[in-house]
Amino acid sequence: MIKTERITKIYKDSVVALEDVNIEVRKGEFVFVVGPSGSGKSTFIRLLLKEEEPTRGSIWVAGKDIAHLSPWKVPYLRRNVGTVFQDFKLLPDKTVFENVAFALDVIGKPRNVIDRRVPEILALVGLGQKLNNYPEELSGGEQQRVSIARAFVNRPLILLADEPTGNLDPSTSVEIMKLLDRINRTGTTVIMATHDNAIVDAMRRRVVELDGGQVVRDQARGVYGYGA
Amino acid sequence: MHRFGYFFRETATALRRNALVTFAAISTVFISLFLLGGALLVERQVRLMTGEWAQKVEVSVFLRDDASAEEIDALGARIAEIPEVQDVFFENREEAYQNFQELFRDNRALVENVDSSAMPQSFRVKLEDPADFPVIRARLAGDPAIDEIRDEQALLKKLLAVTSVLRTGVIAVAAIMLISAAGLIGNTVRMAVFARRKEIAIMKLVGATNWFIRVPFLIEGMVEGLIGGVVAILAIFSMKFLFIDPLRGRVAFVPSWIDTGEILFTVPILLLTGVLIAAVASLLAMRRFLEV
Repeated sequence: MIKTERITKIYKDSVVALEDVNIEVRKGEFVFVVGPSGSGKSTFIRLLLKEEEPTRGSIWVAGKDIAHLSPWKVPYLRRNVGTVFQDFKLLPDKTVFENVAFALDVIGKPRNVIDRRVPEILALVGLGQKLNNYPEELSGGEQQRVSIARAFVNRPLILLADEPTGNLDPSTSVEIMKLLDRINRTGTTVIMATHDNAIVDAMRRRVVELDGGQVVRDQARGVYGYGA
Repeated sequence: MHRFGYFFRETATALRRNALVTFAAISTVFISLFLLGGALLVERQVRLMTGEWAQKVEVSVFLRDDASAEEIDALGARIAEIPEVQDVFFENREEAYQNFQELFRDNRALVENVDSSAMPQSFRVKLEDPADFPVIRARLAGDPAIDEIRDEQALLKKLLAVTSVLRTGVIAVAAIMLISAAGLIGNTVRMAVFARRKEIAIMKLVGATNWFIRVPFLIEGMVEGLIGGVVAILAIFSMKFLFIDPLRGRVAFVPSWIDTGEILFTVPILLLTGVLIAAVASLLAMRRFLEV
């Protein structure tokens, strides 16, 4: 599903964010990418979304070499890759329903599909009663559920989550992880960058650890760190 | 269909949001297109005043009323033999009257009081080189059938010389104003993009195509150009009703004035210019902001 071959990312000021990273993720896997701040986790996620170009190396996503993807195809790549962020990225002047519908609207889905699928997905994430609320009326955990619903409403093959629990308290984080686990069980490949050791240890899934831009550990059913 | 609804709603919201800058952009488009339309119409007016045929012939040889048919035939043969002449045709009283009616269409009293018998017969001569008028005059001098030889280009040249300076000036001003109009439209588009940068970021994230993101901003710019063009056209029509219509038939040296037909001819030019300039300005304004 995802395969990187010796990708290296060097920023303009010659900061090396990633160096010779080889990672292969099979369809339906759940992978944690862990490491301290500045270890290259976010860069890795951005490269998979083609928000940035690797300096060297190739990246294969869903069978396509995205390092050499023409710009006009990028939107179609992103329709297969859902994304969730630490800061939710919801639109404050749109309701919960409208925020999720927006993702379908702007890729040209017809109204009847939107009206059927959005309540369905919001019920799945446990917000079936809050369709008409605005983001500011929701708790952080609820806002993150809306953002997950938006990422998943188009049934992407891959879900990328960059520190999705970074702004949430531990018990809310557990709820969000349960939701991501459910989504993973539908066959969606999930890649989650985090430095939340309690969550990683509790889930016992594959762990890829980055440090200084290099893979220092790739372990099935791992924990956050040997020392933790 | 709902896609058009989306674009329409987005455009309306965007135009409301930056009312003042939008107003500045539209007024600049309006003024520049009004000037451009004026320049086009001045040219049309000059053509009307000189008559269509005057642009096709260089020399008119008017005949004396008492010239006989033999004299006329002989003169026609003489003219045709001159090497500098490219073409010559005879205009009888009836044809002259038709041209007269067309030229003085706004002066009905005059047209009604004159009939074809008052019209002179003439030869209309087309030259290889318009500068050869003195040659023709010298060659034909003294012919008994001739009343007058007139250089038709002389008046046209004078009028065109005056109006072309005027027209070039007006078009230059219109062009400068169109450039600033493009800048202002670009600015309103840029402000609209900036106001919606969060939405745009999310649209890119969920896989909206660049064109889908651009179209509402493009429409916004083009609507500004279109409104400016429509207002310019309305202003030109008002000028016609307020200033030209009252003058019709009252100015001796202007036998006919431009009318609705000539103004309609400028409508597509002004609308297209406005919309195209606005489209280019909007796309240029977005290029930097909406990269993947």
